[in-house]
Amino acid sequence: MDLSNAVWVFIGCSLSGLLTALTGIPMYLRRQSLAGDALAHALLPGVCLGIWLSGYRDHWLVYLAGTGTGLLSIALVNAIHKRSKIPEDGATGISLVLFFGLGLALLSSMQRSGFGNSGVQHLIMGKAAAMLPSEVYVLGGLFVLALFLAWLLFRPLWLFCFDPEFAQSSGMPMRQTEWLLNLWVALVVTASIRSIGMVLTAALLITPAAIGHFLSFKPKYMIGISMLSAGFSGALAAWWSAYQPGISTGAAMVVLLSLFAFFVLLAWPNLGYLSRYWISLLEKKRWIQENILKELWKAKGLSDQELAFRCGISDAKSLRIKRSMAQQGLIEKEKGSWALSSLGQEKASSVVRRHRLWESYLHERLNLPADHLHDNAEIVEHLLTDELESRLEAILSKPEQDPHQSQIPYKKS
Amino acid sequence: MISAAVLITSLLIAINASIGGTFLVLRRMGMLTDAIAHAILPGLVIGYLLAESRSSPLITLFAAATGLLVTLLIYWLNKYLNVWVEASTGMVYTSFFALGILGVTLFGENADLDTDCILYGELLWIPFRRPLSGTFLDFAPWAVWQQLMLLGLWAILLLPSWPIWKSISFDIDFARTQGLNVERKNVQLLALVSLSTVWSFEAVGAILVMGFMLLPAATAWLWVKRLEHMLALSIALAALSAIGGYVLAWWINLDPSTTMVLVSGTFFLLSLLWQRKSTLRVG
Amino acid sequence: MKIEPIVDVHNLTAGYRRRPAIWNLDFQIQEGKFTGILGPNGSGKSTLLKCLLGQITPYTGYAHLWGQKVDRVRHRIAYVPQKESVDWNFPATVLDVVLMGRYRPGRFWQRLGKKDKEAALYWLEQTGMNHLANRQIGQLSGGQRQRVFLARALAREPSLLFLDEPFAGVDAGSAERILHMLKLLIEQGKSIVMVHHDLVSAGKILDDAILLNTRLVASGPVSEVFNHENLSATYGSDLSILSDVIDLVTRNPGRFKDPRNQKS
Repeated sequence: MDLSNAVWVFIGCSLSGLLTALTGIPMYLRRQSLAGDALAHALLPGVCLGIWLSGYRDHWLVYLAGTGTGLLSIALVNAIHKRSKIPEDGATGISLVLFFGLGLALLSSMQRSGFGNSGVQHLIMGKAAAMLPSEVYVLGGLFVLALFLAWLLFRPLWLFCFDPEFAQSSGMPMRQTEWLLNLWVALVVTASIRSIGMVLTAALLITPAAIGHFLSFKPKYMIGISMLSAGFSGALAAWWSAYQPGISTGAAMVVLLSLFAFFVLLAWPNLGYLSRYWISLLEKKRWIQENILKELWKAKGLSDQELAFRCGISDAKSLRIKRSMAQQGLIEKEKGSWALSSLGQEKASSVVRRHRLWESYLHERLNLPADHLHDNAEIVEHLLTDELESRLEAILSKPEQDPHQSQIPYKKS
Repeated sequence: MISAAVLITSLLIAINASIGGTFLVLRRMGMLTDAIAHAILPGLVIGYLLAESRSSPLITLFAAATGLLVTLLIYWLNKYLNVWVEASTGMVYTSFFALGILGVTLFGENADLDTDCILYGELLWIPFRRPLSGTFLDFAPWAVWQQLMLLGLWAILLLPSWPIWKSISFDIDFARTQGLNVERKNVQLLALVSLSTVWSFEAVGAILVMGFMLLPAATAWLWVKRLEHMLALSIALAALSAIGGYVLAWWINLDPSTTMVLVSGTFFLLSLLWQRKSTLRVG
Repeated sequence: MKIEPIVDVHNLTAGYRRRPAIWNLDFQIQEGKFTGILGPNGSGKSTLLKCLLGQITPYTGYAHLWGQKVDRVRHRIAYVPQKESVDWNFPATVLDVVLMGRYRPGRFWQRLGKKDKEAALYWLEQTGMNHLANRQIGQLSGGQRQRVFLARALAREPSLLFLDEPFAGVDAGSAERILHMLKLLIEQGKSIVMVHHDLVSAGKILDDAILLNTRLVASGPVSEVFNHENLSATYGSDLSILSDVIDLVTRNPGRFKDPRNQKS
């Protein structure tokens, strides 16, 4: 095909993003993300060897040798942690640094013996600008195959990742599945180091899966989100590097992907850390407002200080919240002190009703003594829904009084 | 030619790294060395850009702080957002490393940093980086003073509260119930590991630092049972592989830091095979 | 005429890292019975179950199902593991997990069809979990998790069901439901082997029992097996000698030998 280099780079980067994201998901789900990192580093000696032997960097020998040393590194991790007392993460680190060291030694002696084209160097950090069409074809082929395999084997693979014990008891060939999976990861990583670089491949194996898992617990959505986020960051990075040829595409891709990941983790509506913090602030405010309503309902004409004291908040805060409540039309100023509006009256009686209904329930159904009820009801009054409230009413058949002999204020119907 | 300054520097680097590595391997935090080693890169780049010289303490400060920040971020993601710990490790350090690489490729010329230096380090240049001439410090290269300082810091950290370190390394949950301030000790340990990584980075490169930390400690663990013995053996192994690696590198004309890691790795693999063989024989 | 046993264990010794956890077990389990494996913590109950399921290879002896190795009859068995054995943050819905039970050896490449989904929904309904089919599994309570695992195992439509402490950490309502399901299975002529630790309930719900404390104490119908002598041998304290001997054997550099053969 006659396409400009920029287009090849664009396609190649998007493809390697999609492909590695899909491949990383089983690694992530089996809690072996860092083994993927070790594997990616361990490709170096194999790839160097392949280039040395064949003289080309997209020769089949390169793929073969790279995949081979990648698999060996996983075998070494298993051998170390299953057969000695070194824990798995130590074993992973050891395997990673040993293979990478071996690769560096090979690389430097290759460079010294006149092989020193910068092409090999770029395998480590990634430089998509030098991507060959043949490499893009390999990526495309692998991607189509990956989609097919994912479609075909989705459920058994999910079972394998979720509960290996059950998978084995239903007759799944564990060892073979595990090694085929490792083989596949090694193959994919070897094919995508041209664009990403082996040091950073770990990011594309791990981060998209983590984003997907954070946003959805449904397997198909998780896979979709992971692939889309990685594919997009690949495309964007290729576009960026077309304008700034000096940058490392792999690094650009990972930076974009990580930015998205941290945005999601922090600020995604309802799920992100800041969003959840914000929601908890709003909820806290609602509790305080309801407490103020309740206290005003119980005792009319409370002084401002007394009200703040009963709700356990500072005077300034109580003033702030009361102003906002006045704006919502819940309370109004009456002869120098605050009183409930008709809307506020309704809300306040609902809070008190829920409090007293819950106390009655605890007392009657769980046989709690009367002095054990209040603290629990102080929380539950803010949480009960209309549906639960009417169920409580039905169970208790609308009692007149709560266990402390206070009237329960029902809605006038 | 074998240079005494290079030999002494690499010896000290190996010893310091193996002390930190011993605790990390025992505490199942081995991959944290990987994370720190990668993640200090953006700190270094920012430091270089701000200080515009290679020997400014600003660089050390920034880089070590980034190392510590990364470990805290990993912990935070795991605790508050339920990201699985290995995933949060992988996510955080790759994002920092990528940021660093991007910085190097964008502003590399200004900062006198390139990817070769990140990978291999520049052990052979060590003797030429000396503190201000004319002072008594001039008698040894910068790196030697740095590593001696680090050794002193390790001694200050470990010696007075050795029983506490022992208790923490053995069973952290029990140590917590004993009322020991485990979190503070953790931060102290990670801060020194981070500093040790930063000061070794220039000499041996980002990824090989891991080997200096993990390999001697893991090898020692295969042979001995007590923490004291493990630490001693790990230091001895580190020293041996530093000297052996340097001589071997000179002999067969290879990069010295890589060779040291490979020698250290050979010790580990031989120990593993030996132990495996002996358990096979009896079992 | 002698009835062919469904589980046949002969001279079984097995364990981890050269340390035997069960020694020289011999027993048989009859078809159509609700059998419990009982014993204190560390008595090798889980090891025995793992041997029956073929997850670990025994040092000596064998454990056969229907007179064959477990690998040849996997399509006829199902397993309910302890609910702590998996990560409940895993991205999967309740229905996804139950569908996992619809896999059979030799047809992994076949995708699931409508029939499989109907079966999964049927078993969810039977365990009273159908209204939660689209929930994430992490949002379930302990008892609900156990019911999902049971539904997953039953979706395999097994003739022999293995359970590992199904009532541990389960609320009373769920426990009752699970027990009800298990009794229905027995009525339909299926067999159940269950690791259990609660002696009080064991006497009421089980047909047969296998009392285990590293070695076999007794096996047979509950009414015969549950006597003071057996129970004190199973749960009694004076077993330190046995564990000392195991220590000796483990630390001994010689190849592990069957202690009975050593005597002769």
